[in-house]
Amino acid sequence: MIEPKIEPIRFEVIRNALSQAAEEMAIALRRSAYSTNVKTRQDFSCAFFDKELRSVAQAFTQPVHLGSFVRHVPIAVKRYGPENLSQGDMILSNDPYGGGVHLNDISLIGPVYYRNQLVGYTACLAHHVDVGGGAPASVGAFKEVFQEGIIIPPIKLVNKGKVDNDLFRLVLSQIRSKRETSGDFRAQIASNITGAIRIKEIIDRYGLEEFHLYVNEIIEYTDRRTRAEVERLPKGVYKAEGFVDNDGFSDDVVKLKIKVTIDEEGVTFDTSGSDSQRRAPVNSTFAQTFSACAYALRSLMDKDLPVNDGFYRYVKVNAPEGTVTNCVHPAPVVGGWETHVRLNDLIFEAMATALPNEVCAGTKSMQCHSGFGGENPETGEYYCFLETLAGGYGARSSSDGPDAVQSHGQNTENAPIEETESNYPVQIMRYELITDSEGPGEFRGGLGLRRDYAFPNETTFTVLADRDKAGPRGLFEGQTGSKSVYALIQNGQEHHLSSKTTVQLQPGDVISYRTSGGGGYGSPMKRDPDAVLSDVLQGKISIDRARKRYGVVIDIGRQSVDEIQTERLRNGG
Amino acid sequence: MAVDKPTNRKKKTIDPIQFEVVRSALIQVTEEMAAALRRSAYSTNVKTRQDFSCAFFDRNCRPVSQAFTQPVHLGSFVELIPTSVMNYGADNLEPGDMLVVNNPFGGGSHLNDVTVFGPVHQNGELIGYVASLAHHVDVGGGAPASIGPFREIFQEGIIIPPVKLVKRGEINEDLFKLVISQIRSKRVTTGDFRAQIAANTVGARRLMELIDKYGSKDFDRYVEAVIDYTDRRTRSEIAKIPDGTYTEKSFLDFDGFSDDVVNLQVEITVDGENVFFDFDGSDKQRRAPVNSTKAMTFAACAYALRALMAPDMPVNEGFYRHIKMNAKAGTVVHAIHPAPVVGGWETQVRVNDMLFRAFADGLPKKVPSSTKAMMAQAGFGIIDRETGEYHCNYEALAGGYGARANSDGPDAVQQHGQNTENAPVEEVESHFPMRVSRLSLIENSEGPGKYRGGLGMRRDYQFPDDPATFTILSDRDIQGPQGIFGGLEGRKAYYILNPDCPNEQSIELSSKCVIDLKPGDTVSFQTPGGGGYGSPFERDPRAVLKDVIGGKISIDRALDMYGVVITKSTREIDSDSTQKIRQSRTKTRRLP
Repeated sequence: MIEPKIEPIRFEVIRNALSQAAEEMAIALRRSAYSTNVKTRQDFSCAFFDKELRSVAQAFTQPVHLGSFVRHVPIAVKRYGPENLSQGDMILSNDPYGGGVHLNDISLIGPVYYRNQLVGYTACLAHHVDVGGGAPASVGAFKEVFQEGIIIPPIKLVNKGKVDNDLFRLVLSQIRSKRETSGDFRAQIASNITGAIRIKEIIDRYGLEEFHLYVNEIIEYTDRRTRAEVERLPKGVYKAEGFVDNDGFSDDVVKLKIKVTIDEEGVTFDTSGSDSQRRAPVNSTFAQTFSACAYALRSLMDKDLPVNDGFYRYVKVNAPEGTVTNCVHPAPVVGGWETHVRLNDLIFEAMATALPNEVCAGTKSMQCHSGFGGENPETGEYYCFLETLAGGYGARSSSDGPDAVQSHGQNTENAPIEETESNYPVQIMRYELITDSEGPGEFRGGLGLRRDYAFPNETTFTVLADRDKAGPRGLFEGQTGSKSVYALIQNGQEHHLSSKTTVQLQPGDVISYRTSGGGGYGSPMKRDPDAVLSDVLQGKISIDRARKRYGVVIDIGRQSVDEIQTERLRNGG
Repeated sequence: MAVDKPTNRKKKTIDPIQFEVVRSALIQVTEEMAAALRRSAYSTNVKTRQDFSCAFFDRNCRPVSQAFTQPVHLGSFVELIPTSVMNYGADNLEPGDMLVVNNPFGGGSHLNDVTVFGPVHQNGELIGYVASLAHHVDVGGGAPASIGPFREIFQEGIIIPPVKLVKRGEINEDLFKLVISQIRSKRVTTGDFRAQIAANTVGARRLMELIDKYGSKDFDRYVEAVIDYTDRRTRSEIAKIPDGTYTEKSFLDFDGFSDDVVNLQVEITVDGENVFFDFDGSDKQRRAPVNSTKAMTFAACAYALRALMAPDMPVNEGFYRHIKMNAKAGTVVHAIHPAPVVGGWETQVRVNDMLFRAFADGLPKKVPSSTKAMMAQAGFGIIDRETGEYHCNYEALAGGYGARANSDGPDAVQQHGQNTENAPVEEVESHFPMRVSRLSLIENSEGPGKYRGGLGMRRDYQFPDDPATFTILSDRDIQGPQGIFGGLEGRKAYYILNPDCPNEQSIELSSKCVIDLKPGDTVSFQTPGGGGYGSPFERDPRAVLKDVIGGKISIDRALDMYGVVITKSTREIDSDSTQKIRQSRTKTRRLP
């Protein structure tokens, strides 16, 4: 039998068409969503899976979701039973113990049929700003999953093209921000419909057999390329230990351990030795841990490598059940993303000696949520708001870490002040980079940021973040970035809050977030003095710090480096 | 009480014997529903404590008959069923359908009380609706058993607007799955839901048999007659209550968060055949577990009024329509979204106590002194080490009842609209990995009086092997139930962690808390004694002696509070000394 030939140009066209279908799903979702978190911060993801539930194409949105999606979607569909699905159906699911992550991340999955034959599934995940539970925005220091919001096992939300009103109503009844969230759900429905239309158009053009052929080849191609990338990686066993600072209840840090083994078998991530799960917001589900490892591996590979099942199958994760990296029911999961992203920092730290030019120093490595809600006095509506705040990125072998960005798999955007203030009863009083927050180094970490929220009405505010105890670590003599501070300012008095807490605010209260700067890379004494000068002139580093930490003396009158003094300081004059 | 003949000559005659037969048959329908529910339920709370209710409503959603179970539920049904049918749309309901609902702001009470109800059809015609409400031991939310010091409704568990649980006789699996996913005690709660479905099915079957027997026209006539009859009797009973205004103030001791008591106030106006309950002056609702829904407050009024009437009077639309109420939206007696409602029953039953006290001066022989006047809820959750099952238990503890004009208050009973049974120690210990290390009446807890209040009860929960979460939702932290007409106050409630340990380890808990226990911990739940009636110096010394011999009151207390001298060695009354002491004390002591 002659094997059908893969025509390389057609391959590229179809591969990109599928990615574009996912991108169009993202556009549809974004343009029809109601909440700032989805339409502006882009806290969602979209992907296409083949009929065997292998991921094929994804939109460029949130790697944290995409890495966990690939576990959740097949589990959810298999639990429901693909035989129970038909044209126009869509299932809704967020169950953390059915392959999910935290409850806010809700997936909607729809099978796609072409002439009555199943050709695959479109799926989109949105972070819903509130899913009920113990505090507005459903973030808080929770002790078990039952306190965290609505738990959704796979259920058929859309039945042959029609929304099941009873199910929809029951889901919305648990949710505070009903108007926004029902709009966001409908946006997810629209997203899947758009995806299905585009997939069918691709099949219309190339035919069903060709479609299956090329879909399979996309995965195989990615497999071959990933294997080559894996073989390129230095073989060895790489370890690192670290911790999440605060569990919200006790003084005990949450220990994390990672061992990365690269050998002929491939790459295996092992989190054995990490702490046992707790009744506290620090537990990651397996999907979240898998997602961290997938992101880390992908970062060490070629930029244009596609991401689909052909790649994901190379991510081998051994995370013992009952630990904070693979928690079991009924552990709370709302803090899972904080732990997940700390793990990412650790993986890079572990690989640093072997791949010094490919990794960055410590980042804020936390989601850094701020969630709040209450009754909007103008509309009477219960509103909820959620965002995650940027921080300093870790420095690299040949460049500084960017200031005030998200880290690793977290790719959400800034919530613009104008939009936030016009849609929610809050005022942003300050929004700025924090001078001297960077981890000094030959290449410095990025600066952290400060955002102050003032509330004119009674509001419930939740901080779900970390970095209370220590800042992000540097690499190769690079130094640690600043710790984070979460403050309540009341009547002119500042009180420091825990990084995992919910507070009741009175009118006039202000909450101030001051996020960590990234870790430095290389000795600060080797930093190019002109770079230090530039930082000082821009107000990013103070003159005092330039002298003390970098050994660079700045003549501010002349706006130049005092080279003699600098030389003296640096070489022990 | 004679049965009046109908006065409207246009109607066919109502045969009085047939009337009684049909009236009783309608009640029996609901009693059989109750039996079916009870026999097929899984949880101790439903099958043993009987924390459920069943009723039948006609096609216009008017309550017609009810099983003798929980008056608090039955009163809330009156708003819940019509509101839910209207909300869902009567046209959207087909034979074999059942809706599930617990929405507190649409006629419901707290989230644990979940109603499953459905239309009953025969020969293509809608006859009415059968409804069963069960207090589910857990409905998710912030703590096991779903009780705790919550601040908003979203923290309390799954909120269910009217949605179709059963479609044409088949359970809607996706919907059922979604509901159960929020719940800790999945196995037990699934069983309890199926029991409710079974109860409704039995009720429907019996109704259809009644239609077969009498035909739908006659059936309708007798239902109307039952309601009319009840209406007439209610009017005449109300007419017996002296016209006038009856006022009273009261408060709930602790809201779980602040030091501010929760003020309650009522002005009851009896005018001929109508009664009007006005709650103006009661506190605004709070972000705290102290808010009653309108339906819960209505249930309190209904219970209070019914209690003042002849015992054989039926309860249905003909009675309920006479209860007129003013409870302003946004207050603790009519909370609105998104207030937490888990503590609503505590407030509701304090309202009941208040209503009786309001009537005390006008009807001194008909009302009791103050009772525990709270549900006194205790819940706990433990994860079974072997099976991983999340066990939840819930119960409401008995306390002393208030003394009456001619008798003592019973010891350790439920009060007012709360009619749940005891959870036997044997049963609880065999279901859960815990021990009830004490269950006893509390000596000297009664409110002294000519007739004394009932004793309070102590129940100690010990968790020897596994960590558990314990929740208390109760009250009476500040003071015990008040006496009346010279009767004295009962002992207040106490909630103690590790009661028999050295001081540092023994901690007094508040009446509204959630605590994480370590293996070996014990929680002691001690309920109040009831208030006394009349001066304790007028109590028959022989009654005091009997209490002393029964271990209910100590010899010292007999002397201190009742002025009765009992010789310690012989346990006999020293009548002379008693008389002397009582005379002298009556002169010097200021009576309340």
